[in-house]
Amino acid sequence: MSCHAFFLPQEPFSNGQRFCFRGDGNRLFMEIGRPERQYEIEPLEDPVPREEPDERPTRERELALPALEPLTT
Amino acid sequence: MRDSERDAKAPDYVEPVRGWRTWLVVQGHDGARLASVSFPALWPRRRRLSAECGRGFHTGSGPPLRVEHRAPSLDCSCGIYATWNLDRAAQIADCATARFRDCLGRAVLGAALGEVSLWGTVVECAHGWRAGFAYPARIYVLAPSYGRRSQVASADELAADLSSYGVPTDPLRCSSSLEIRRLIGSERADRAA
Repeated sequence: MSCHAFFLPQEPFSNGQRFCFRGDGNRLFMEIGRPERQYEIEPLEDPVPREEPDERPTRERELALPALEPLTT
Repeated sequence: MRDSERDAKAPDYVEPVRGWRTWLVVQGHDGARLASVSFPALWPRRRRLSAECGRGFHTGSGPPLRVEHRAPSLDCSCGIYATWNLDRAAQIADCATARFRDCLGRAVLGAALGEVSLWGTVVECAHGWRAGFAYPARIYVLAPSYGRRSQVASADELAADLSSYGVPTDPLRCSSSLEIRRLIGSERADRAA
């Protein structure tokens, strides 16, 4: 199917029976239909994966150099 | 319901919903990044993407919601979008790869599609969801030939770069939305076996 079929010049959103995209010049809008219900989700486990220690850049894992002794004159 | 009341309310569910999305893959300062095809937004690595309302379209039956509100709302079109099924995301990939050359002033390297976790306030719609928070759950990087445009990096290189999101990331060698559906369908069957 051609891409042009998705860029329909009609009203911004369809009645939910059809899937289409609109272009505003440089953006695509995803048609997901009419809202039906709303709820709250609070995941027990964070969906964002934690950064493993060995994935951090090397310089972050290097131990800090010992402070220099103050120079005495 | 006011935000303070909503914050105090027990959640309805404790598992995120999973939908499908298409992303642009753009050049970041430190490697490839995922970007929205609908709004000028980069998807952060190792941090959730949070929705804000820019007073979007009206999708409800009442008058447009003009008051400031937390995204998403039933009476607005705000939120982070995902579709219920792969077909719709694959259709967007057909358009996105042919349409964009740059995004947020960054070169578009290609496109990806995949599953996304959605949580927080979630508005369930006829064909998908709008959510307050999202993070990729699985990323498929489309082959360089996808959309008949050249990329500066191979799908394998982009997949390696995008693995910094910390979720399974694979190159997908295909040249049409039909092939996307076939390849991901067989890959998921393999995983389930």
